[in-house]
Amino acid sequence: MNEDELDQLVRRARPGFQPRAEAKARLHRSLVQKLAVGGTVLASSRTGWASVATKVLLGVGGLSVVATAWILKPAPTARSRNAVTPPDTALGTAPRTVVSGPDLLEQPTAVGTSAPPTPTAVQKTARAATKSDSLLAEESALLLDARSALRAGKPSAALALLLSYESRFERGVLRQEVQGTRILALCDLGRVAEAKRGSKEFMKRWPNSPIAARLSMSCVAGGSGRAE
Amino acid sequence: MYGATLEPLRSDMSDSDERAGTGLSFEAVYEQHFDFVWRTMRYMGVPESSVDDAVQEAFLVVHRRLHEFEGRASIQTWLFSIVHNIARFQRRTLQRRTRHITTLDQHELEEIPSGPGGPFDAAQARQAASLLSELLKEVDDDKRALFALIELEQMSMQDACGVLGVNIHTASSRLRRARRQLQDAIRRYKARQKWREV
Repeated sequence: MNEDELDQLVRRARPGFQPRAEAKARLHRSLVQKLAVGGTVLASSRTGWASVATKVLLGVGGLSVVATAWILKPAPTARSRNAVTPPDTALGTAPRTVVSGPDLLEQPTAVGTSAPPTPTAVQKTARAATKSDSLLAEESALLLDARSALRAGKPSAALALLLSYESRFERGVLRQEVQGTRILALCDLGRVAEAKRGSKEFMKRWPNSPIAARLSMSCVAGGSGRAE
Repeated sequence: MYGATLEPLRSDMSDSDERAGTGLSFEAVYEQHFDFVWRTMRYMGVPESSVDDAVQEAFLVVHRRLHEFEGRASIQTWLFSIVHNIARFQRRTLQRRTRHITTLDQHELEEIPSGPGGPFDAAQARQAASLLSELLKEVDDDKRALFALIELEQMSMQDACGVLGVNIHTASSRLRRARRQLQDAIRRYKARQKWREV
C-alpha cells in the first residue's frame, strides 16, 4: 500500500525543507555578531568597533558559553490559528496538533512521468493493500478496546486484550502503541516492577516515540528506563 | 525585513580568511552550503523552531575548525558529520525538556511563506515536510541519514555512501529498511488519524 504514498509524501515534502529566503542573510548577521563578541571577526564584517579589549575579555571560552546557552534555549510554543488540538491522542493525554486542510497523504491529482503499472501489478497491489488495511483495522479495533477498558478502570481486561493482540499480530504495525498501553495497564494494576522493565525495553526499542512522553508521566517515571 | 543579500558583507573579504590548504574560506562555505546544512538539520530531526540555532551552531563549528579540514573527504561529508552531531545533541536536549510532543511543529505554521508555486503550495510543502520529519523520527539514525540524502537530497547512491562512509551493500540494505520503517510509520499515522474520528 504505502510505496506510492511514501514517494508522494517525499515529493511533496522536498520543497518544504528549503530554508526561508531571508534565513541565510539573517543567520549570517547573527553569526557576525556572535563571532565578533566571541573574539573573532568575520572578514566580511571587520570593522573598527570590535575592540581588542572585548576580544581578550570574552575570547573563545566566552563563545562556547554563549553557544551552549543558546543551544539550550527552550523551543517556542506558539500556536497557529490553522491548527487545532484534539482532546484525545494515541494514549489519551499528550497534546497533538492536527493541520486543517488537504490530506497530505492523499492520492496525487497529476499524472506522473513514469510508465503506468500493468493491470496485474495493479491488481496485486490492490489485493495487498486491502489485506493490510483490513489487518490494520483489526489491530486498531483491538487496541481501541484495550484502551477503552483501561479508561473504564479495568486494567486486567485491557491486559488480556493486549495479550491476545500479541498472539494474533506478531508483526503488528501498532505494536509500539500496544506496548505503551500494556505498560500503563501494568501501572494501574500496581505491577510497577514489570512496568519499569517494560518501559526500559520500550525506550531501548523506540527511543523517539511520542508515547515516551505519556509513559514519563506514569508509574515508571523517576527511575524508569528512559534510555538516554 | 532580512532582505539584505550577502554581497556587501563579502566585499572586503581578505586572503587571511582562506583556511588551510583547501583554499576554502568560511564565507564561501557559508554561501555555497548554507541550504544543505539547513535541510540536513531538518532531515535529522531538528524541528523548524530550533533549526536557526542549530544551523548557527554548525557554522560556529565550521568557523572554528575549518583550518582542520584537509580536503581528503568532500566538504559535504565534513559538514554532514558536524550536522549529525549537533542534531543528535539538539534532539536529546529537546526530548529532556519537552515532555509533551506535538505531531506537527506548531511554530512553522505561524507564517505562510511565499514560494515559487504561491503561498498555498509553499504552506502545503512545509506541512508535508513537518509530517515527514515526524515520521522520520521513528527511523533509526543511520537509516534516516541515508534515506534523507538519497530520497530528499537526491544524491546518487555513490555520493551518499561517500558522505556516510558506508559501502554500497550496507547502504542498499539500510535504504530498504528505512523505507519499510517509514511505511510502517505512515500506517501508524493513518491509524491514529482514524482514532481521532472515533
